[in-house]
Amino acid sequence: MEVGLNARQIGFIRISILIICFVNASFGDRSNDAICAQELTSNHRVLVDYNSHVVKNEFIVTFNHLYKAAARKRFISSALDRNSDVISNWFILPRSNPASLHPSDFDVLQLSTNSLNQVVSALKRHPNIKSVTPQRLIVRTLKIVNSTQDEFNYRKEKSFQSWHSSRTLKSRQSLSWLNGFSFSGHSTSTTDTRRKLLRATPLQITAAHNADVLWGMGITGAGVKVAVFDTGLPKNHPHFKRVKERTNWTNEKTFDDGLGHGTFVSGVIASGRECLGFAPDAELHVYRVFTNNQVSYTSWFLDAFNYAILRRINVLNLSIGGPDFMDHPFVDKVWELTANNVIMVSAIGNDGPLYGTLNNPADQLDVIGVGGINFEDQIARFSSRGMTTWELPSGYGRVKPDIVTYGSSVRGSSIKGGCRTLSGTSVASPVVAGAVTLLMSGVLHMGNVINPASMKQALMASARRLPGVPIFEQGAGKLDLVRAYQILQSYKPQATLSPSYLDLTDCPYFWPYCTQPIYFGSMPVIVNVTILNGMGVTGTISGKPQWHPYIPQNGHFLDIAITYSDILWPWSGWMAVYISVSPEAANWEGIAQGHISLTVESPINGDNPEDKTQKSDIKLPLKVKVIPTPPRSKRILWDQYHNLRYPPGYFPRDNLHMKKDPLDWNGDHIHTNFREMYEHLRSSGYYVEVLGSPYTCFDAKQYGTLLIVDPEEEFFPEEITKLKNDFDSTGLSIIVFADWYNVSVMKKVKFYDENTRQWWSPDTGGANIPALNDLLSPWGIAFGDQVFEGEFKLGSTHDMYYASGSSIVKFPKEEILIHRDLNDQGREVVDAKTSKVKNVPILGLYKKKARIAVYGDSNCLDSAHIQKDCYWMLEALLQFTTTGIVPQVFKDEINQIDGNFAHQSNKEALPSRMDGNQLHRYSKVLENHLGTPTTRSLPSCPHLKWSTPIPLNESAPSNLYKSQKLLSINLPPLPPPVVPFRDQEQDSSKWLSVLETSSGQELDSEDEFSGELYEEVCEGAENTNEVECRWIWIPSWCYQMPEDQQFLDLISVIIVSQTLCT
Amino acid sequence: MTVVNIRWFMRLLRKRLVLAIIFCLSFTYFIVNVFRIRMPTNDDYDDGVDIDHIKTKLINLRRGQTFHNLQTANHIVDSEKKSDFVVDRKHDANESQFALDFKFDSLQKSETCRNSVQGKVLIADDKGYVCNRKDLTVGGCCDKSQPTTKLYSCDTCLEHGCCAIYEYCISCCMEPGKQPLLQKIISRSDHGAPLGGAASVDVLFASITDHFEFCLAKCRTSSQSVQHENSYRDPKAKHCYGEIILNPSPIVKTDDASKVHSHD
Repeated sequence: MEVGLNARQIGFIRISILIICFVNASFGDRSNDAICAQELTSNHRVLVDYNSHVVKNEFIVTFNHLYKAAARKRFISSALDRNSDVISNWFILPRSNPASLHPSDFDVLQLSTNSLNQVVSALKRHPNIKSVTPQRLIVRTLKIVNSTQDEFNYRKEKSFQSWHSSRTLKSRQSLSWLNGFSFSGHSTSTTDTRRKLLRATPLQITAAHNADVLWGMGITGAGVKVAVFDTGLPKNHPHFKRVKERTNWTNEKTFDDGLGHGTFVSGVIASGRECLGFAPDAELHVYRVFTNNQVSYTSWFLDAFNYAILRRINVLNLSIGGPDFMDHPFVDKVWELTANNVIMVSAIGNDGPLYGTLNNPADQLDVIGVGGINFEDQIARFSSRGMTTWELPSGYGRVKPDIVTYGSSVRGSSIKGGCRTLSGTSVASPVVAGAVTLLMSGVLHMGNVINPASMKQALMASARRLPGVPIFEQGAGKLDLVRAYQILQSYKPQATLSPSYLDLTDCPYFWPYCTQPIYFGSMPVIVNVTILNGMGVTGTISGKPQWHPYIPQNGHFLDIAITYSDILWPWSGWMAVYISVSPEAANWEGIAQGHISLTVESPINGDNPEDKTQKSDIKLPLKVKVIPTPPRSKRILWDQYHNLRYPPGYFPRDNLHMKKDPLDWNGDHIHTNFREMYEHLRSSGYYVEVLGSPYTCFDAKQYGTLLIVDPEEEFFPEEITKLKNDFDSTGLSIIVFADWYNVSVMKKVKFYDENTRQWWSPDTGGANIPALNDLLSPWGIAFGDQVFEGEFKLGSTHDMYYASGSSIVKFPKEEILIHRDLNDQGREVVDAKTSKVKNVPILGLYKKKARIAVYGDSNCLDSAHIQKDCYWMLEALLQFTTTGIVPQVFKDEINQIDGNFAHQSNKEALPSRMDGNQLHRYSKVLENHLGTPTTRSLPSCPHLKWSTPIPLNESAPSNLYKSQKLLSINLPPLPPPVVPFRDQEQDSSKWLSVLETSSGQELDSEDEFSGELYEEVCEGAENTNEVECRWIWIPSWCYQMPEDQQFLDLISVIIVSQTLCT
Repeated sequence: MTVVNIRWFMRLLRKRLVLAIIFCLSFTYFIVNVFRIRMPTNDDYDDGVDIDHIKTKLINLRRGQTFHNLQTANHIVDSEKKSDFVVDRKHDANESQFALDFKFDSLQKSETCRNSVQGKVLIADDKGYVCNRKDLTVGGCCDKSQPTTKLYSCDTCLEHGCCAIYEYCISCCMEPGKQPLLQKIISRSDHGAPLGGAASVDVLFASITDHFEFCLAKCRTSSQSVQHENSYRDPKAKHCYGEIILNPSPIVKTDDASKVHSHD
């Protein structure tokens, strides 16, 4: 007992960890090197790594009995006096905690000597000294290892049933992984002891974000109405203090949560017991909008949202999401809520690690979109990422998520009381919603200065950036609750930008911008910047944004064009920055810098006509790397314009085997699901540009190859003519990766969409083969409408997989055509019969003035459902198109096939467009004219208006990144934290650094081992900026009643210390 | 060590101070326990706003109550919502003259209004005015001296009571002449159809306290405004103060059908 009193017993606690670890290791597979491997679930393992080393010259001296500090010092000095010749210096490490007043039986001694053994034995000889042991420092790291099975299992868990299910996968879903990580579910008898090792799962998510600091100041969420739109909440759940209202908007007659999702989410926000939530005193409004089968409709949401506006909800959590950002009634309603001062927090989605997987409504400008990280500060594998795809094809996506926080293995309330562990961005979202609720209750006095924009600004400005993680994965960084509180307290209404600076040379944060420098003649690089306006729900940009090149830093080599929202509403808007290189810099290489300035203004209520607006000036620093224009052969143009995707239409997946994900919804952009392909092309020295307009809008002389992959759109007749002309006159080569197309299969893959309550049939196949055949007809090339699938080898080394592709049915005879034996997948889907087809032509190489390469399947380039990649083949084809030399791997094929060239360029009818297809609804090329689709008139090419530069003779610092600062009054000091034994004066700087040094997580794990509470207390050392922190032991009787046998002990302690609890 | 300890204890235990401390501790223990037991009950916070409560309220409300009574009932409901968080919330509390007061009231400078809060360009106040956002007074009212400010304006509204722009819908709905129509809607929803097809709509209207709030809520897009869930019935006139009379039957049917559907 008394040993426990002495707080700084680091050695003791750590050693006990080690012991448990070794015990586990003996069960585990690798006991040798002190690694504890622990099975979490079937597919996750926690690796606990230990290494311990002796702290040089530090010893723990243990005495026979308890002595006061003075006595202990006397003993040591008397023992050492006899050896004063070898000891140059010694001292006892001070223990400055209240326990140090009491007698203790050990000291930590620091020695400066060359003959340690002599000194140690001298110490040991002293009659009152029991033992002398070296001080050990143990370093522990812990990782969760994701096995590759991960995604597969997860997808399996998604709520899609079967092909003809009445429910579509792509409806709005609740975003958590309900059965994913529950420890109890997989527990064995040893789980209880093992769980203590899981530093990765802090006991309290609130502690991981230092919510106790705010609680200590009396901020607990009181006075804020927080709404949870989810699966409901059981009545009288023991964790919740203030359930103000439960409403049900579904067709099930219950308010209770049958799934546990809603309970968990509510718990993370407002639980007051066991697994704590952030804002236990907030007024909790529970809206049940999901049935127990996870069914939900937009119309339920609309009514529920209207009610939330009526009830004047302050913070609303939506741990839900779906890909349909074109559900206008829903999207408009979310805007309406934000406009009515409801702070919307939503989960970004669980479709990672693929890019282009953001979910609505988290991808909206006005919503706080939350991504998930694990307790190692790595982006969780499941967390959706990549730019928004609303703006494609002509624009560029916005940055999302806005912020990230813990979403992996977080503890929260379970339905029947008690706690459980869940993962998913569903979990991360309420962490932020809870934090927002808590923050808001701390600044209620600021009235309507706190609004959806200012809250988002404060969260983003205070977030901690994770090193080595791209902006399209982490946004502003990891939530920092206490810093956000500080910023919010001193907040002054203003407008800010996200990202707040553009350093396009900063890798990997500014991926993909940092991966490809810009050059004269390239398609303008577009950055889509989000404007947040904390001054008012509506605002405008006054005048025009200005471009200020820095003359000393070559800013004048850049041409900048800017487009922006006319009206910033609600609380937000966008600004697109187009960056190009001016002709003078065609052969220049270097870094160019400058900034863009703009003024945002908002109306204010008032009778004074002079003072009707507030204004806010913003500066956006810009830094770009410029290189000389690369040779034409190295430049590839990616056709984005002819890609169509869900939403709005049903464009079926490109791999018919992927029944769980029926839609093609990732944007088909080189920075979304073709990201890996892009990285490969870049690393082989190609420069890839994106064409977001018709073929009539690019200069073919600039590019070596046009890359057309999986196009769903029709082509304008002018485009077909232009391309043929480019091929003949300028030598532009073309590579086509087609996909499957078959009308019977298309009819077969229609399904009843429960979400929109109508039948959905696709308007094209994986690709629009009839349109593509029109485009390729001038060269006598055409694809057929049979669907093939199968594995084969190309060359001698390359394994290939054809995942639902078409075959080449027409190809000039004299050219190279490569065949393979494949399965007839069309028959398999339609008649459920399998049959092999021999010598299916899949790859054609055509060589005239320029080159054309066609391949029947795009799956091997598309990361969405890739099974075997074929980046090597793309490279080989590029080699062919740029040089005209047929790569060896294909040459080998020619010889092989020549003998049995069975498939003639035949006369069979080419595939035709499906009757009654609705493509014209979604097409930029077709329109419905009296019932028949006709081609629209060719749109004019985008014309950018370059800003008139206003040069400045100034320079920017080399590193543009500084933690984003909001304009504010001087930061007020935080009140001192409520910790016991606070005797030192606190100032804000001290406290801030305290927060940086204390992680909070350490506390939890240790706490479990000792069964006691420790508090970290820090104070600034004199004259330096350093902070000293130490652990203080809080006696258990201060927070819980002792057991009977401890009672007498306790009394004696109280008498000695003459105090109960401090 | 233990022997010493015990002897030392016995000596201490005999002292009065020690006894006093034991008493204190026991007392604390008692208090703590009592407190602990009380904690889990959340009844004292449960204002009974479970939907059952709302339903009862709704039934009482409809039993023989006219639209006028609805107006006067708002004192009770308003006092219930006490939060001075949002600015216009404060106005709620201050507001003593209520919505049916459609006369051109005394134009005081310090006049305060509730308004439609959300507008992009326009805003409507609880007196029935619609104006440009920048023409809002400190009190949140439309500045009547501005030429663009209009009273009971039905711009962009069609005959059947649906408008393109939310703020005009409110202003139009606020016109005293519309009162019988609104009353009809309220009483119709009593019988469940067609407006009250969904119980959810009932919940919404049950918590409405006066004419302005009714118009605010009625003009919003709702489950009644959509078809196939993800598209508007009429994108050009989606804000309706009146009943949606145009082809009301398909809505109800699809609604019911789908609900049955999702059951199986």
